[in-house]
Amino acid sequence: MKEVLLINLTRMGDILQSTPIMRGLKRRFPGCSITYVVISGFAEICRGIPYIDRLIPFDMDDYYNKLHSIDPVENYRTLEDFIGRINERSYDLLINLTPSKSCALLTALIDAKRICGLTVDGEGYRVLKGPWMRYFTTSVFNRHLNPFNLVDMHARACGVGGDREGLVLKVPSDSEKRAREILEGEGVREGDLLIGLQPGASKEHKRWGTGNFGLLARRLCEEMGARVVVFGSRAEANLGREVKAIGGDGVIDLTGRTDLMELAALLRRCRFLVSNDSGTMHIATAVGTKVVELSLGAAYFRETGPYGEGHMVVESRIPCHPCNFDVDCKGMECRSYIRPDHVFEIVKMVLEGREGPIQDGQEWRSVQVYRSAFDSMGLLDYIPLIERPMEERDILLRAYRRMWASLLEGGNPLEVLDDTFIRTPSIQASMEGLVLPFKRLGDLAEKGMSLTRELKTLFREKRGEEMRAVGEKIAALDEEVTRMRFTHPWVSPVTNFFSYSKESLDGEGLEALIEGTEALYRFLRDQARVMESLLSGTPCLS
Amino acid sequence: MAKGLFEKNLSILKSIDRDLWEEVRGLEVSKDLSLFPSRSGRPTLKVGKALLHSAYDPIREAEGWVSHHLNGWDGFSTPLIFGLGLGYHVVEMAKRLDRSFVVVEPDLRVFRCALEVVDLEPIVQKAGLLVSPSGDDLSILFKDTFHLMPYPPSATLYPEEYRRIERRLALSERYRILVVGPVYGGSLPILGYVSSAFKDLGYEVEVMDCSPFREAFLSIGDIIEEKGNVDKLRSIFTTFLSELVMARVVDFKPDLFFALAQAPVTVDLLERLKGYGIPRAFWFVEDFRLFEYWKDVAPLYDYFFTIQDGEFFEYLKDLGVKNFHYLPLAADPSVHRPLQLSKEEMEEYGSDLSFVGVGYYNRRHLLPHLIDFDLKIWGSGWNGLKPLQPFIQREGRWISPEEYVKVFNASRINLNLHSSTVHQGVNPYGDFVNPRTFEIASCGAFQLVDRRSHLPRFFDEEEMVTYESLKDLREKIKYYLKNERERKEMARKARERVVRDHTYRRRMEEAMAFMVDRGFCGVDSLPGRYLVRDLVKKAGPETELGRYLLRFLPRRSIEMEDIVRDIREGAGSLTRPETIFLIMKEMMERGV
Repeated sequence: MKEVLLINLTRMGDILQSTPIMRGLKRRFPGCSITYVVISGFAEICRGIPYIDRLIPFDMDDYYNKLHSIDPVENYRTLEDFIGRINERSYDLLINLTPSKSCALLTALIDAKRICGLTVDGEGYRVLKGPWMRYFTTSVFNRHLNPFNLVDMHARACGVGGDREGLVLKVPSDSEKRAREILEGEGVREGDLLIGLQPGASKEHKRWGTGNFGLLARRLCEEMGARVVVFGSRAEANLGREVKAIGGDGVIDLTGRTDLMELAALLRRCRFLVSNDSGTMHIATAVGTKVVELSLGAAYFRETGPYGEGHMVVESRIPCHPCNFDVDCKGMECRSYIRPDHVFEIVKMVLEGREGPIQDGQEWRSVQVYRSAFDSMGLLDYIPLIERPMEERDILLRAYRRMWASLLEGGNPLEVLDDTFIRTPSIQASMEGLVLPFKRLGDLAEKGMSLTRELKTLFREKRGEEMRAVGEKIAALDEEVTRMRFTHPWVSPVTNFFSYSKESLDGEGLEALIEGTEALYRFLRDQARVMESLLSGTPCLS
Repeated sequence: MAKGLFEKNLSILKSIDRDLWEEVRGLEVSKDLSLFPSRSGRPTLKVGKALLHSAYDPIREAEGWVSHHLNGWDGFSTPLIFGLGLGYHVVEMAKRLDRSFVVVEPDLRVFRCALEVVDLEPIVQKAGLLVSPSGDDLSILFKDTFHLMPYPPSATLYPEEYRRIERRLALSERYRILVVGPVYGGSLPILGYVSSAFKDLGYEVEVMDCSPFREAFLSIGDIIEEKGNVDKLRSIFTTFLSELVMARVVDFKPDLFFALAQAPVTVDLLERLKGYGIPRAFWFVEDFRLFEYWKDVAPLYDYFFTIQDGEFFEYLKDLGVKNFHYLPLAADPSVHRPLQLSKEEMEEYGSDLSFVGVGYYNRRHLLPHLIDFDLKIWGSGWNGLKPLQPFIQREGRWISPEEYVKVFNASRINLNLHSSTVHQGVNPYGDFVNPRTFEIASCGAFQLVDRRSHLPRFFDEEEMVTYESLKDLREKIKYYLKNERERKEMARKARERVVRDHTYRRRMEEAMAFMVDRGFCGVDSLPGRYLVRDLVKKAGPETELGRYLLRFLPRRSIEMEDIVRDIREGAGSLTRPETIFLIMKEMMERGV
């Protein structure tokens, strides 16, 4: 493996979240060269990523404007040039981390021997290569039941990961120097307790609100003697002003006053960053600063929370969280569920060297607090710190975590089973209802396996008419699998994975497709049986 | 030698165009034409006093002409050479051009002469020949994208023919036309006929049908009593509809905005169209004496079509309207056609005498005098006339064109009386001819129509029977009910005439020709829409992208949506250009 191409036309946070993949690739394929395709606005941050050998920026904002203002020939040529720049080398591996149709199509024009991630077939239909990538893509449809961090999903899809080292960003010394100057200018001395706040986020629904940040800042300053630094872009300057207005004179408003590398250097100086789900949060983790993340709105810490050991997350424990990306919530009740007092207590707890647990009580009812840690497979997990009985969703998440982590890695389903689940009596009673649909799914999958075997025989014996009849039975069976997604939503991770995998089936000739289909039913069977076993405590596989 | 060449050419001609061969083989060389040797020894030709080729060296002259035209050629449109002459420049073109082209020679006599001088073989291997072409021959121009290359002596000698080719080329551009109709009223069906006609002519047509708003528009008058308020609200409603039309314009990006009488078009809309550079045409299919709103709208349009001329034209001139043109009504033979009706249909729709139309003042006065005939009256506005009640069909409801075509077909005599709000029967000064006249005729049905001063422009006496008064009408009804053969013969001739001369297709062809003559050439660019030939030229016709874009010819203009639609319609594996265009479209809609 010599030449690797990563296409990541996403946002800053996603770029930093791809650093473990690159590190993994460099270790797995010593001497390999990584070409990285990025939106030009984020090229600056790539200077601090030590694994990138060649950077190809694409000015998407400018191109988007041109697509709407100038003729298609010129725009075609721009894209052609861009593709030409990428194809100056040929690649042994192309990794597409951009979950869009346009980038999937783009992969079809790249000179690469192997593609990992979202791509297209010859006719332009979407194809998901590899079980982890399929899992990642389908997880967005059942986000609340996804137990994995994006970084782990991507890394596993690329065949790397598990090194527990977190994200990486090297801060250049000139930026460090500038950061020192800025802080000195604000009267901050070495040894001062410096706490960062990031009140902005890409979307309004990810924001905790400047009122909350301001009240927190005031307490941090007044009760802990901290200096609080507010970060943000120039466009977020109003947020900085609002936080300072409430937080008082101890607050240093640096919104719009730093470039990305200066921001990184300043974050390194902070003891903590209290942040919404944002690019700044990922920079903080990448430079080794601990984060307290506020998980609300459509932001979901399990997917994109702070990556690495020892970060804290406060989750708004409202039933609708995380909401879907397309929800335009007018109420944002989840904001008020997380109170400045909660965050203050968490910061205080960590500063005092306590790691939890937190005693549950009336004041904590609206939230749960997590601490990030890697599990035995090197996959990031978030351990709840407030001790309370598990709810149905917690049980399902745990079961799914165990099932996927093993099966997506090609593990033997029989090895997954154990009986270490914690169940409360109230959960026990509803378990049966949770288990039965998985049993039904397992039965359907077995039926599917037997039908595809029959189909293969008929195909070899060229019995077309009978093949059609079996084909219809398979279609009806698939329809039932799909329907279960609606009738029993908690099985949707499994049914969605199955449907997408079926869409992505490829292979030369009908026989290969039949065999591929049989393998999918087998996989579905294993998934359903493992879930059934885990949830019922009884082995259902032989 | 010349004789041998002539025979050889004739035999080539026979194999490729038998009609032309028939025409030319017996033709003597005209006395007006003189062949004589140039200084270089090659023959040259004089037509009258005009020289068609150099008197010194026709070959050198041809080489220069070809170089000049190949320099200006876009590299992908089919060259269309006007003027064959003795063919020197055409042979040279065939030698230097590695693709097919077309040659038009306007004068059969010159062609006859050329057969003695030039070897047709290398020419016909690459060129299609159109000699003294008829209108139908020129329909070929709609099938491709051409680049006109005039041979100057021929263009000078035959200016009208040259102009005709130029105009046909301009007309054969696939313009995009937005046809806008009224909310309701008599001109509503015309919307469909006009649109079909434009489509038949090869244009890309979008119809803005405002009739779905009819109920809402009319209900204002039912809800509100105060007339001033009704008018105000209807005006607001019209403004709303006009905005809807504008939004359609923005979507469709037409080369021509073609509105019919009563279409909801405000002054503001017309101004905005002007701002976009979109030519605006209006067909005022109304009596200018009855509806006077033309005074306000005519000066705002680039092209104004009328169904009356004479004094109306004087008024239009006085208003400063420049491009007005007389464009009479017509029929659509695909709708207005002879039908085989069942026995039940004949019973339902048939009678000795029928009338289809709204109960206007003059009709309400005349028809009661015909109740002694087997009469059926179809249409609305007949309430309150007691003697007519037994004859009114469907309780006086409006009937669709599909139904009244059945009535025309089933009736022995169709009565046609042009509306008037003042006369008690026939309007003695009536001029224009209503659509009904053409429609009944197009059905192959017989009609008696009131005398109109314009009628002889459209039909001869053996094609159409007119009446001048009630007395005259009654006599003719009686006569023609008795003379079936005469009736049928008359109807047959009238139908032939309509199909030949009075279709909406012919009218729209005429309208387009008028506009082209007055400078219409579509719109070169609107936001997001581009001329295909410009795109191919910019991409370079020899490049992968250029070759890909050529597939959109002879369409005139395209936008990204058209390119993507074409990809989706195509089956099989995506090509590289297709993939790139799909990426562009995705990025346009969703960013990365």
